[in-house]
Amino acid sequence: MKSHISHKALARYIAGTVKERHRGRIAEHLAECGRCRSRHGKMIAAIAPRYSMLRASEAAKVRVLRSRDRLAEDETARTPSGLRSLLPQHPRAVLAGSLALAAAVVAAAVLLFRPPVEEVRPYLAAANVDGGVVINDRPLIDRERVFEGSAITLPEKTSARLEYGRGFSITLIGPALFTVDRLMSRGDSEPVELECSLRQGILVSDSGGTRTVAYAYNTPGARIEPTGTEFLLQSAGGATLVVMKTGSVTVKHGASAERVTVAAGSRCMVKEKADVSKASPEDLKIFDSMDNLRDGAFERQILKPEPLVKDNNLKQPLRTPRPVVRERTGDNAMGRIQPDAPSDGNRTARRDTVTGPSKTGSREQERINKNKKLLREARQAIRQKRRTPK
Amino acid sequence: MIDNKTLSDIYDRHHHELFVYICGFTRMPEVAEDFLHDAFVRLIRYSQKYPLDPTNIRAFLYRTARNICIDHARRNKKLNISPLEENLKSGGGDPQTDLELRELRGTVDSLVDARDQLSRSVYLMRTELDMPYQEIAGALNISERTAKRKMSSMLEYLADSLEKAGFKLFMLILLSLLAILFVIYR
Repeated sequence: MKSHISHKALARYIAGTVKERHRGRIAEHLAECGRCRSRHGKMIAAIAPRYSMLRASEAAKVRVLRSRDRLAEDETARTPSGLRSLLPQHPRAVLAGSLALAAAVVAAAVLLFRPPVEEVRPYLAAANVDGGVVINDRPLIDRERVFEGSAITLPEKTSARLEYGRGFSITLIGPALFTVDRLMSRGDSEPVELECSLRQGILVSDSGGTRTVAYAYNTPGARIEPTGTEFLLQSAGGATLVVMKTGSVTVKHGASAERVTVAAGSRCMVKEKADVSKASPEDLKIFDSMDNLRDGAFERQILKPEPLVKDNNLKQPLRTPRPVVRERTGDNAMGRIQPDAPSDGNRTARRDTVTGPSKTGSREQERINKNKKLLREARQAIRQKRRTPK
Repeated sequence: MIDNKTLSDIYDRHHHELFVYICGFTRMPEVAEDFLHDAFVRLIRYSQKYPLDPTNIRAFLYRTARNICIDHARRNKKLNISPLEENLKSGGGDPQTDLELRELRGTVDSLVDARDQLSRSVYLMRTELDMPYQEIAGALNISERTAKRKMSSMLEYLADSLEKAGFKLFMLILLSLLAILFVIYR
């Protein structure tokens, strides 16, 4: 090799990465060429090891081992106990369990603290109630709910109004005895069925143009079945007075079962029989002011009010309404009432069959009671027989 | 977590080469000892979370030590590098030769510092620890070919730079002499 070794070849030679066939030639050249040998020596001296003779102190090892012990103690202190210790090993199971527990807690909270179910029974709301008005032997107050089976007593010169929804209202004028015999709903789309008894006193009924209530009134001497109307009804001394303002009502005489229709602007007096006559303009002024009616301003137009008589049988409707759902025939043995009049298919006729106390009705009731008693005895005998060991 | 005996064995097996390796970066034995300790603490922390792979511990320690050195260098860009004069081998007794040798090594240090971390690692392992390329490759998680290329490249760079540095010194001396002659004979 005549030329000098390039620093690249020299670097590879020192690094040991030069190819084997060049290594010998470079070694030969270094033995011959002083300049290249000097360069080689300088490089070897420059990269000679300088730190390999250094030693770390023994204390360094002690420090490392001490650090290991300290970390082990920290780990023991931080190691979670109980369910938390499961988290690193079974994170999904712990997560699922936690979610299930949270869901159970929320469900329990919802069940425990849910608001009370709103009363779904229909009711009439009391309004403009005068002092002294009593419902079920306690004072009636404004906005009180009047449910089925309630009995309202109004002393003289008092009034109270019962409302359903926005339109329907009944204004009671004392002295009066009034009971809500039936008030039930058959669904949101069906009108509420209301049946009341006016044992004595005055009421002014106003449907308000709504058809949300299918209602009927009973008095000791008659039954009134209006359809969307406004009228006055009075019961006194066994007589019943109806004064019509708008619409019409059907009045059925209690004893004779005679039916008359009272049209708007007419009045009907039911005593021994139902008499319908044209209402005078003074009669119709009754509807202008309930306060005047209460204060006795229309004594000539209405019957003479009689003092309140104590009725211990307020819980019993004047005329037992026939339950529509349980309407069956031929079930006398089970104590159900069989219609005693032929049905003409309309609602009014069907109701008629259960209205008004009659001798036929009381005999029927006796027969039913007798059948019930017999049935009860037969059942007891069967039970007794079953209990007796063979 | 790694137990005391295993840790002691690992320390005995690797602490010296790691210490030298770190010294190559820091050039300060006290600092190198601290970094050695830090590297082993990181190994212990790692063993708290994951099982240790015995075949990978050496590479882990080298990688950790290198990262610690890099972090330290970034934090202290202006390092007070002591040349470890007391630890360096004497050039042979002649003060003039020793002085030249020290100057040469100072130049080499500054040249090596200018290279990338991987090249420095390969260079230190090869020159200081005399490790074969296969071991270097295993410890640094690189291929043997890459290790050889890095080493050749580093030496080529050093040789080139040193020759240029020698030429610059010669030119500097020559210019100084010319300036002195000019002042004398003006």
